This record gives sequence, structure tokens and C-alpha cells, in this order.
Amino acid sequence: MLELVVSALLIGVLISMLSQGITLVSRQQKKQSFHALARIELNNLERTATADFGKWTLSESFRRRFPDAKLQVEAITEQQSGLPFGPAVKASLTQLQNNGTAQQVQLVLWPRSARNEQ
Amino acid sequence: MKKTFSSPLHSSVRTGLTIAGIIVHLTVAAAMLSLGTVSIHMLLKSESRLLDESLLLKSLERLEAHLDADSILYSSQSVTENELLLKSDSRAATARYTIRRGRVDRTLHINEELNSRERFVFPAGTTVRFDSTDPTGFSVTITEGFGTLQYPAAGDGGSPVTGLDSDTFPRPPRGTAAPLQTIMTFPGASAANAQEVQP
Repeated sequence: MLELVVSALLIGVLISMLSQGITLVSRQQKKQSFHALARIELNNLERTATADFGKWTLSESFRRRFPDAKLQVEAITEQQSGLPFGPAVKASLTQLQNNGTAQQVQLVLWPRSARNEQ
Repeated sequence: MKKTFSSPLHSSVRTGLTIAGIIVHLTVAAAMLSLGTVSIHMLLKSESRLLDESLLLKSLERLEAHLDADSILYSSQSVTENELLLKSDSRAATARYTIRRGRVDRTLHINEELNSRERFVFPAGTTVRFDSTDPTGFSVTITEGFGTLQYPAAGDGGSPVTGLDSDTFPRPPRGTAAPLQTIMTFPGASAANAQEVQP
């Protein structure tokens, strides 16, 4: 009977350690995945979006992958951006994690089409 | 005086294994073995999935960086489903992107001499497609394989480039959700050049 209890305890500890490790690695991978794909999405917006950033929307493929992701866009001046390239746009993508914290990817963009229209 | 004689057989109790004890030990051993097997299987599967995701992200980032730079530097382009050709008049340079079953090869020729070669390997089961976009741009669509299917992989993790399409990309069972896609859009050579001359 004693052997049964000891081995059950050992198995329990091993499995909990293993599953926790796998969960943590998987969560880290999801973070990296969001970071890389959000940057690609924001670069897409920078390359193709219009100067009216109120109309910027996320692509269907990105929304399908990250349905809870939220896009926030705000105009910033040359002084705020700190670079002499004219007015820019600060675009950020936010995604809530399982543990309640939010992951955010933020880029300061100078939209090509906006430069064209000026 | 009466001497008592005690045999060693009678003085010590023999401790053997009972059938109940054997059953308990076997049950514990079987449970440990099965849980160990399941855990190792889970670990290997998760490692393979993580490697695939890592390969996908690395190739996506590298491909985007190259396409972004090329789309600005080159002045003309031609797009077909499996090939993208970007040409620069000033440097007599040509960047050619060729798709071979989810693997993208980039070659750069300057004055018709091979200058550099890049390879972007996507996980087995991934497909890549080039499309034209209005007015002069192009887009790259990377479609991942179905999560429920096991795809044959080459040594580098990508799909084998030879063999039948049906073996490399087996059909998913009915009712499987559509695979995930990543689309990268580029304004194209002439649009990018037009923007560059703006003050």
C-alpha cells in the first residue's frame, strides 16, 4: 500500500512539472507568434493604408487568428515622434493573454500613401 | 530436563509474495508506464509543433524583410502564381522569387551574374502564392497546413519537393476548418518609386 501512495505522489509531481513546463513554453511561443504576426500586420497597414487612419482595419486573416486583438491608431506630431520625418501615426495592436495581462506591439509609422497625398 | 528443539523452519516466518501484492505492484507499474508513455508522446508532439511554428515565424520575417526592401528598390515587376520577378533598370539587377511547394527561393542577378541566393523554408504542408494587386502591387499569401493532418517533411522541415502532390498535401477530412493564412501586401515597384520622389 505504501508503494502505491509513494509512486502515485511521484507520478503526480512529475506530471504537474511536465505539464506546467509545456504550458509555459507554449505560452511563450504564442507571445512570439503574436509579436511577429502583429508586426507583419502593422507593416501591411503602413504600406497600403490610406492617410485617413480612422478607416484602418485589420485584415480578415489576422482577425481569424487573433479574434480578440484590438487596433489603436493615433496621430503624433514630429516633436512627439522625435524624428524629422513629418507627422506620423502610432499604431498598436493589443491582445489579452490567458493570465489576464495584455501583450502590446506598437509601431510608429509614416504611411506611404499619406506621404503621397501630402 | 526436557530439551526443546526448534527448527529454523518453524522459528522464522517466510515472507513471500501474495497474489494480491503482485497484482498491486503490476498495476502500479502499468500505470507508471502508460503515464510515462503519454507524457513523452505529449512532449515530442509539442516540441515538433513548436519547431514548426518557430520555422514559420522566422521564414515569414525574413521573407517580409527581403520583399519589402526589393519592392522599394526595383522599378518593374511581373507576377505569376509561382514566380515574382523584380527588375531594377539602374543597376541591371533582377530579383527572382520562385515557389516550390511551400519553399521560396530568391536569386539576385546583377548584370546577368548570380550575386546571391536565399531560401525561405516553411513548415511541411504550407503553401505560398503570389498575386497581383491594384494598381501595380503584389501580395504573398502563406497558407498553413491543417492542424489535424500529418504532412511528410523533408530534412529541413519543409515539404519534399519531389513526389506526388497528393502525398505531399493530403486532403483533409470533410468538415475541417479552413487553415490559417498570413497575407503580406506590397505597393509595388512603380508606386514605391513614385512615393520616393515626393519631398
